Amino acid sequence: MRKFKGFLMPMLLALLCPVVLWAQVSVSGTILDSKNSPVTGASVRLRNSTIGTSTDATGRFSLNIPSNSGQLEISSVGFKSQTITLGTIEVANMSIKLEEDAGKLDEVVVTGLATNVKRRNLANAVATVSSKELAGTAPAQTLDAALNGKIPGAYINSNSGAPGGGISVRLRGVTSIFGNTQPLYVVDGVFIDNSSTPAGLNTVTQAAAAGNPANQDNPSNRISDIRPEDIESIEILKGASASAIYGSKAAAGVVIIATKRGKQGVTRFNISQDLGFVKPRKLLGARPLTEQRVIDQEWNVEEYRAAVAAGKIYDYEKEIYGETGFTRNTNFSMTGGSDKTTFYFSAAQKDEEGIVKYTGYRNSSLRLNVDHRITDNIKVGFTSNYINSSSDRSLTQNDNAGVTLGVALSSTPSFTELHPNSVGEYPDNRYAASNPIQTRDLVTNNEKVNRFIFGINLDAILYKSPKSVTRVVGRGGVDYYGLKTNAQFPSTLQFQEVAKGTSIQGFANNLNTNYIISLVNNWNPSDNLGLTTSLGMTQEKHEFDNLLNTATQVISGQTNVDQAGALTPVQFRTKNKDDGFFIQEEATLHDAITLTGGVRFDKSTNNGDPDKYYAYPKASVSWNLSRLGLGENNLFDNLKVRAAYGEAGNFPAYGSKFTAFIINNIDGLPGSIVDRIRGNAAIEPERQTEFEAGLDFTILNNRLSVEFSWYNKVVKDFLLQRTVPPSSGFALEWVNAGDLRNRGIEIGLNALVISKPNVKWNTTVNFWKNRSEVTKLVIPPTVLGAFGNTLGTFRIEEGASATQIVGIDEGSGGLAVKLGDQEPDFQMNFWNEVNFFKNFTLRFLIHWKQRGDNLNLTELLTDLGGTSHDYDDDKNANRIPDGIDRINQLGVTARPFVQEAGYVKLREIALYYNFKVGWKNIRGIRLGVSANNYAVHTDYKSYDPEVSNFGSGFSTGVEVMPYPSSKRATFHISVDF
Amino acid sequence: MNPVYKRCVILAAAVSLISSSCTKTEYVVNPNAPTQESVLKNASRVQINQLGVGVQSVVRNGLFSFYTWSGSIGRETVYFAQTESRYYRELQGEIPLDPAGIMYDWYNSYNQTRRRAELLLRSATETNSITDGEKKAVEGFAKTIQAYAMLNCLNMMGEVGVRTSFSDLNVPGDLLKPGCFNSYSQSLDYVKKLADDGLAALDVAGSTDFPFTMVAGWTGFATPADFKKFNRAVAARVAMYREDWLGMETALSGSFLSLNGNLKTGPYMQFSTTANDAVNPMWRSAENNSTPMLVQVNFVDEAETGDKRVFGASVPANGEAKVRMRTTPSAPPDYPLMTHEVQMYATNVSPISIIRNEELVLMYAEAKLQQDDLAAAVSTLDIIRQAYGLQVLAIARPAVIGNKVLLIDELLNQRRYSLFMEGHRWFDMRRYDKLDELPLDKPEHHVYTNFVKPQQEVDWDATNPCQ
Repeated sequence: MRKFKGFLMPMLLALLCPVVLWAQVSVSGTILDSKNSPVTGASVRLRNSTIGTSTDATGRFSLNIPSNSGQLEISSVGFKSQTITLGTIEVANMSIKLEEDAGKLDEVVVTGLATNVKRRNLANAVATVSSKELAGTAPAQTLDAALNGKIPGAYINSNSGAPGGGISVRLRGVTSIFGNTQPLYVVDGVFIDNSSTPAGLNTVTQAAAAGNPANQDNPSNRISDIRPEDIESIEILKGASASAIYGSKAAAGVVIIATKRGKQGVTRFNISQDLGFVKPRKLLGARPLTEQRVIDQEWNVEEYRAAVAAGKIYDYEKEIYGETGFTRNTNFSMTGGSDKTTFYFSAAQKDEEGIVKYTGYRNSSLRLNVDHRITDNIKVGFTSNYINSSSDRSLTQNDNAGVTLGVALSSTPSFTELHPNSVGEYPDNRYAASNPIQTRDLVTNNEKVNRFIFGINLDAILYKSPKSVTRVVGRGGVDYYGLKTNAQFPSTLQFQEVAKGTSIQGFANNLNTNYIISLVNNWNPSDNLGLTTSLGMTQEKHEFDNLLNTATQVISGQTNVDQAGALTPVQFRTKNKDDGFFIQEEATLHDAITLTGGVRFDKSTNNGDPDKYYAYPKASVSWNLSRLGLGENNLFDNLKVRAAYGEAGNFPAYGSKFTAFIINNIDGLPGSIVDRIRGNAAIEPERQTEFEAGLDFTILNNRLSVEFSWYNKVVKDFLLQRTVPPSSGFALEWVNAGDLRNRGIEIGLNALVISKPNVKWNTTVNFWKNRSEVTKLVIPPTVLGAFGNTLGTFRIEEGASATQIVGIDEGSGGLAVKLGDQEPDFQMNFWNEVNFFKNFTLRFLIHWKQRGDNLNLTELLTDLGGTSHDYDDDKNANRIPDGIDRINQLGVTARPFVQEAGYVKLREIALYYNFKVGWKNIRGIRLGVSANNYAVHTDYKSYDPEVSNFGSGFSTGVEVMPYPSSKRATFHISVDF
Repeated sequence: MNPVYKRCVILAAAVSLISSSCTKTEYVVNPNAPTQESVLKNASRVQINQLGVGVQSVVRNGLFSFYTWSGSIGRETVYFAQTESRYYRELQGEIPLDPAGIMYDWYNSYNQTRRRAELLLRSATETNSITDGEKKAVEGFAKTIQAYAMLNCLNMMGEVGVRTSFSDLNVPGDLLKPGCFNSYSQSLDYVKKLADDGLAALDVAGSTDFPFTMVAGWTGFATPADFKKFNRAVAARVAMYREDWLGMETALSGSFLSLNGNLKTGPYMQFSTTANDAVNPMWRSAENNSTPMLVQVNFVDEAETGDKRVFGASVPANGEAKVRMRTTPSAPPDYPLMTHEVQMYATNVSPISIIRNEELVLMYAEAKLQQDDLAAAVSTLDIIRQAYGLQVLAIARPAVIGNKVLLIDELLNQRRYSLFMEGHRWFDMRRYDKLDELPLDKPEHHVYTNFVKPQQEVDWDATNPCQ
């Protein structure tokens, strides 16, 4: 119990403390835009209180307040806020008009752990994604995929097309090499786990042989469990200058997610149903064969002739990857409540098939968010979410045993027979170690998750006077999941001749708990000065326990791991606890100049010294010139300059301080040997410092807003598992190896292009680019993240880009030289929403990634297997087939594998029609059609330029026989009643 | 501020800070494995036992790449891995050896074995839980294992040599002070010293037992007194590479050489499919297509008719042939089709010889031959020939009798077939300066003399000069 005291005591004390109750007055009205259309979801709050609600689909709201006095604040993203002073006006059936605001200047952005400011006064470029942008166009399968192309400053890359997600999100460049590169996700105050748990497929694929220990199992990451449809808004703190208050977890940025809350008023229901299908975005095609080609390839020419005669030439790639998968997504939600208690409930299920038979993704979710006002001064909120997800991902990606679908296909010619005979027996594939049709049909590779997330929010006003309000804000919660990985390889499989049936079952339990308790004081000594002081303490605990059982020689037809001739268990556990406290001061002068300063102190059991506190300071200033200093100006409706500085950390990887002894048995006896990885007892966290400066302005009567940001982000003492000379008897050692810099610019443009009664067109254009450089490296250049110099690899080297790709080249004398860079030249996105003829809405998102290189080893494998579709082309007219040309370059240069991976994708496009229905109980019907990825322009030769054989870590963009990506088309119907 | 609230908050803050100010040990220890610190000082007897078993288990590490890569360069095999063409293109010399590539598992493993043996020795030295005699037994064991591992490593590196010392890794900054790479002959001296120091320690240990279990593969070598025979077998190998023929004969006399004994006698590496154990990495299923070890064509073509090591039933079929004829010949593009595959082990848990009497007999023949006792050499070679169904030299190849040069060829040939795919052919041809006699499957192929220095070592030397 002792450990909970710190969390519960202040809450309980606050709840028990006495409060005064007032009489009640009912306020109601409708919020409209300038064209008299209702504004849904607008927030209506009583200033300096916990009382508030939001408008429904018809723009209506009603609210009970203690007395007919005070001020009502009305705000909605994309509109200017309004304040209405009560006391003299009629409070029933008010009609309030909001003015459009392309710059979203009145949007409230969370900047502290318990405080926020309006965008107008914000010192950072904080990206926000609304529910409309996230899931309102063409919904992606998972949350991480739904973010792609929508965050300026982010490099988001899908690892493969396998159902169930698996995506890497990098904010403002690569921020760590061996530490965590993925942002921290916070959902309603709960720190959410986003790890990937491999299923142990390496036993079968041996992908990690040949000196590459990295995980190539293609697991999904756990943020994909959260349903995008439940999300109200997302804020992305892209670097330390914005995220410093999250301290040692924030170096890779913070994604703050707010889920939908209840609304006061009559209970409303929504049912929406999506139906659609997925198809492969692109297939590479089969090599057209001739007798001569079969002979040259040393394939069985008799078999070829017989197959031609029988008309049995197959396109196996299309058979395996070319399925049309059906998708459905059902969502039921219910919201309502009294003036004291409001709730949001949703029950949903998504079931999607993949483009490979027997693959798919299913997610069922229940959510209940309840807000309750205990008194006018004390408000509590509870969020609870249960998720059950299951993904069948089949066997893809790199392997060294010839067993994954792609690797087997790469050497399988189109004339050999792989289909089962009349009694269901699959022939052995004479041209590969496995029969991919058999593998597809008989292998199971499933991830199943049961997850429960519970959050508590407490907001209590301790003291209130006309000039000062003191609140205690407590937020925290629990994120627990049990993950089961189940991989089955029955003994009848061609490649199970040796293992005689393999069953790999993994169980992972993950428990995150965290709390933040802060005391916040708002003090307005005069109309021109506002001071917000916050101080507080935080704690995060994390426990992970993964038990993986690999059984071989499984009794025929059984999957149970104890029905086996041999069983190998592996257990991996992590446990850490981080404590911190912080203080932050924000000052606003004339509602135009905002100064912020703060510092957070953190310690962690992951550090070499678990009791040492590390300080992460921050400071920022923003000056709204149009409000103060510039005077009346006709050009600028709003003009702001801003600068921010902050520091944040990244923990050493778990266990990096230990030199462990691992087990290695012989003759039934346990043996203990020192590991290849040498620990470092002095390991320190990485420290990121970021300076950001920017200029924001709005012109043309608020119809065009421009946001320009420049940042310089320096990661100091970045963590590296450096290779040590093998002669030392170790392979790797953890060190704080050097410094790394990311510099970049982000330009955002929001415009209300057309605003006419029949047509309204909103557009957002973002441009962003980032350049990284390793500015200091105290160890020799380190090669990592791929397959060595011959095939191209990443190399961390002083003075070079952190994401450079190097390899041998003609004339390089066997030395590796720079051949490319994974970093794109720049990225742009174009988001558009056109409302026309009142009820039609067209939305689309175009995402352009300019250049940036991948390592494409898929082509090499199909060349070596003699199955490349363009093997016999002769583009360079040297009378040697291109396939052979490319093979001949193997060992001479790695250049052919480094391929430009830029693209322009029409990621999402959708057309919706809103019916105004006069029926008694039905308030509205929305119909729509949408498509994802239907138009893609790229020069990249393989399935999709978005790919990563090594998952979400540092080395994205390496391709080895991935699960191909798909395109989606969906029909939507949604009914409100 | 209301005084009640003030007290509430201060109290709450104080309670929280106290509860979070000290770090509980449950978060500080490693829940997954013991750490180096816990065994280096005052190790218990049980820990010493587990470290000793651990070293025995890692004697197997590096074996696959050592045998297969040296066998590839020595033109015994073509390792036709379906998804990794570098295993044949690089090893057959079509493209340069990549110092940062995938060919150095043996190098890493043997250096790790050296380190792991050293940690066993150190733990044994810095504890009171075992006797002084047992400490010497551990020293003798550890140094002999180091000599065995580093000799294999050195032969792969050839003239590049090995680092013959590495500073004490428990001193801060130590890793930055590596010893230098020494020449092949200097490195051989280092390996000889390891073996000789091991022998001296085993002598002191006398009749004491090892303070750890010797696993079944070491049957016959499981006490310090018997383990000396293995130590001397390793010393004989070292002497052979040093071309110290008298020293070689002396070492052999202390080993388990038995001219008329079972040729298969010797310590073995064991394998099993139980958890955290290893399976025989050299084993291949018959007709394997994903990672077949194909037999270089000349090996079969150049064998003497009737040689049981090549013809007849293969080992998995209860015969003695180390190769098996495939139903479907195979080869990488443009190579001559290879009809045979390596088949030396019956199952994936069959043991692999570390060093056996057959090799000692061949070394004895070489020692005699090089000391010009040609008659003894011939009679010793005949032991091997007759064991595999070949006629004695006087009948089968009378021309070689009395001709040292031809007898050396005969010796190398017997070593080629007796020690096939066990890490000898390449080095034998190198020490007799005959690498140019090895066959090439494609004209653009090339026989490497040695592996190049791994990139990590080059990089390390560039920033941390050796001393």
